[in-house]
Amino acid sequence: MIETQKKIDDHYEHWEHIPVLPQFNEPKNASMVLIEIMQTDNTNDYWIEAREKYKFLKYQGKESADKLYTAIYYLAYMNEIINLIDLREELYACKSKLRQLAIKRYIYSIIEPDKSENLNDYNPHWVDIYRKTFCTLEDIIDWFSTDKFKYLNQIFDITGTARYLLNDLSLRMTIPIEEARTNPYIDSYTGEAMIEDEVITIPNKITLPDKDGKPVTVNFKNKTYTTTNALGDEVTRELVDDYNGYSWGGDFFDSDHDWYEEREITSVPINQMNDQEMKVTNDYYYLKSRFQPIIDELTRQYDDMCLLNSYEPEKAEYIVKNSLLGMSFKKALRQEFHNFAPQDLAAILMDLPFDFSINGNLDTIIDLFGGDILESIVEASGIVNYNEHHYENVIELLHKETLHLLEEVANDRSPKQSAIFTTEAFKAIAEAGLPIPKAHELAYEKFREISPAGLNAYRQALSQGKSPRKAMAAFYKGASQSGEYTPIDKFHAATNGYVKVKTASSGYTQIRKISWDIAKLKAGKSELFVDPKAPEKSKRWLFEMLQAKNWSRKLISSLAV
Amino acid sequence: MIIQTGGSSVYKGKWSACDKPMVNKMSCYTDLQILINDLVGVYLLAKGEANREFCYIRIRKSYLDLLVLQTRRFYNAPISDTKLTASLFKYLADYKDPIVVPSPYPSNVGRDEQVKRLEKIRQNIAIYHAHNRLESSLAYPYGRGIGESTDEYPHILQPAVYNKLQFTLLNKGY
Repeated sequence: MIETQKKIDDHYEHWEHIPVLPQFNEPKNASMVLIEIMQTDNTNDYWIEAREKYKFLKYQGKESADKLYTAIYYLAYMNEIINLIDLREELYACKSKLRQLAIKRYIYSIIEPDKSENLNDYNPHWVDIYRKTFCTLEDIIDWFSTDKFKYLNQIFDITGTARYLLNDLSLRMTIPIEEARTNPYIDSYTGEAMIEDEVITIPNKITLPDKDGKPVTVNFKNKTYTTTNALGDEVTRELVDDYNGYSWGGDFFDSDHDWYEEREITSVPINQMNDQEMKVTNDYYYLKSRFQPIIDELTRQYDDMCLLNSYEPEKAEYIVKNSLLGMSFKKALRQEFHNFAPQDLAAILMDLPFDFSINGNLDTIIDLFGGDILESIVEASGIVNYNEHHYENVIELLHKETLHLLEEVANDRSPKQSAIFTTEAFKAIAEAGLPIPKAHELAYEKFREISPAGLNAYRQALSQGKSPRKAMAAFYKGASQSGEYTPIDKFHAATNGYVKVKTASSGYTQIRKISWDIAKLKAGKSELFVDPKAPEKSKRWLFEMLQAKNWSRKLISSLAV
Repeated sequence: MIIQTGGSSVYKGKWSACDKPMVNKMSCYTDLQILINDLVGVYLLAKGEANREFCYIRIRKSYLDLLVLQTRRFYNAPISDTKLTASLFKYLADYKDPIVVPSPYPSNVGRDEQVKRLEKIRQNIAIYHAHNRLESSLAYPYGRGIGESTDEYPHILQPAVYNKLQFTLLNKGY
C-alpha cells in the first residue's frame, strides 16, 4: 500500500513540476514535440533527459502518447550506448583511477542494470557489451520498421541509428582486449582463461618408485631427495650433488634409468610381421576383382572333377594345378609377386579350394597369418553370413509347402505319379538325403501299403523266387482284383489293327502295343482312359473308330474319366 | 599373321568374344579357332585381364602367329572405335612391323560408314604424332597412369610408323 501510494505521489510530483505540461492538452504532432526537445536542450544527452522529463506520458493512456514515449525511451537507450562506446574507448587510455572507476560504474549500470554493483574485477570487454545489447537493438529495428512508427522513423531514423550501432559494436568486438598484450594465457576477445594453455604446476614433493621399486621422495623446494641406503636407513641428499653442481634437470626418458631395460626384449621381426602382414592392403580389392574370373574357373574345374567325374580330391587337385591354366596362373602370380604386398596375394590364393603354392614366402604367410588375413578383409556391406538357425524355420516351411503342392498336382491313376509315391520319394531325398534309386525303392514300399491284398500277392511272389518286376505285376493284379487300387493306362494311338497305350506303371513314359480285344477288356474293367486335353480332332476320330468296332455307348463313355 | 579382333569375356575357360570367328562349311568353329579360343582364354584368365582392357595379345608359337586387338569389352558390347584406336596405338608403340587389319565392323554397318570410321581412326593416331607426345592412357606399355614420355619411344614420332597401318574392307557378300 505504501509503495503504491509513493508511486502515485511521484506521479503527481511530475505533474506539478513540469511547466510544459499544459502544451500536451492541446492536440499536437508527436514529431513536433520531439523536435522541440532537440531544440530546447543544449547538451548531447537530451534524449536521456527527456526520458525522465516526459515520464508522465506513460500514464496518459492514449495511444499517441505511448508511441511518443516509446520513441523517446529507445532514443535515450541508444544515446546511452553511444556514450558507452565513447567511454569504453576512454577507459584504458585515461590515467585517473577515479575516472576509470566512474566509467566502469556507468558501463556496469547500463549493461547489467539488474545486478548489484561489483566493480573489483570488472573489465567490460567489447564482446560482453555486444552480447548484452544486440538483442535490444535488433528488437528496436523490428519494432520501428512497422507501420505504427512509420513517420517518426522517417524523421528521426531510429532504425538507421540502431543498425549503425549494431555494426559498430560488432566491428569493435574484433579488437583484442588490452590484457591480451601482456597475458598469453587468456582468450584475446573474451578474456577467459584458455584451458589448453594452462600451466601445469608441479607440487613441491613427489614420491616415485626408483628402478628397484623403492620409493624416493623428491623435494623440489629444498632441492633434496629422500631414499633408503644399503643399510635400510632413511637418508636425505641434495639433488645438486648428483648433477655435478648444476641444478636438477633431465627428462623423464633418461636412458640410464629406462624402465624397459629390465623387461624381455620383444622380437622386432615378429612385431613387424604382426603389424604389416596380418592385414590386407587396399591393393587386395583390386587384385580380387582382377583374379576373380580365374579363381572361379579353377574352382569350377576342381568341383566338376570331384562331383561329376567323381575323382579323388588329390587327383583333381593335381590335374588342375598342372593344367595349362594352373601353370599360367602360377607364372603370372610370380611375375606380380614383387609389385604387391604378399598378404594380398596370399588372400587371393586362399580363395581356392586347394593349396596352391607360389613360393615358400607365401606358404609361410598363409600358415602363420592366414586366419588373421582373412579376418581383415572388409566385405561388401549388407552381406551377412547367417547361422543356419536363422533360416531353419523358413526351410522347414518351404519343405512342407513343397510336399503340399506335390500332393495337389499328383495323379493317382499312375503309381509313379500318385501322391504317396511322389511325396515319399521327395521326403527320402530331401530329409534322409538318400540317393535316387534308394528313394525310389522306399517310395514303392510305401505306395504298396495302400492295398493289403496287393502287398500280400507281392510278398508271395517274392517268396516263390520270382523277380521283383514279376512280383510287382502280381501286386497290380491282386490290388485290382480286390478293388483297392487300379492303375489306369492312357490311350496313345490306334490303327485298324492295334492300339498303343501309355502304361500307368511307368508313369506314362513307356508305350505298350495291345490288340483291340484286350483294349475292350481293359475298358470294361475301367483300366483305360482318354486324356481330356487331347485335341478334339483325334477324339472325334477315336469316337468314330470305336463306333465302327461296335463298342457300346456305355463303354465309350467310361473312357472319359 | 592372323589378326583377330574381339572383347575380353571368357566363358568356362575359353575366350568367347571373337569378332569374326573362323567357321567351316557346317558353320562350326574350325580347329584353329578352337585352339585360339583356348589359348587366349588361358592368357586372359592367368593375367587377370578377363573382362578388362588388354589392348592386344601377341602369341607367337611355331604353329601359330596370332595378334588379337581389342575392339570391345564384352562379347555383346558394340565395337568401340576408341578401344580399337587405343589397341592399335599401343601395338604401334611396341612393334615396328607393318600391320594390316581387316575391318572389325559387321557387314550391317555399311561400306561407306566403315571407310569413314576407319579413316577417322587413322587420323586420330596421326594427331597424336603431330602433338609429339604420348600423355594419354591410350598407350601404357608399363601399366596405368600417366603415359611415358616420347623419349622412350622415338620411333613413334616417325610418320612412317602410322603409314604402316592399313585397313582392308571385306567383300559385300560377307
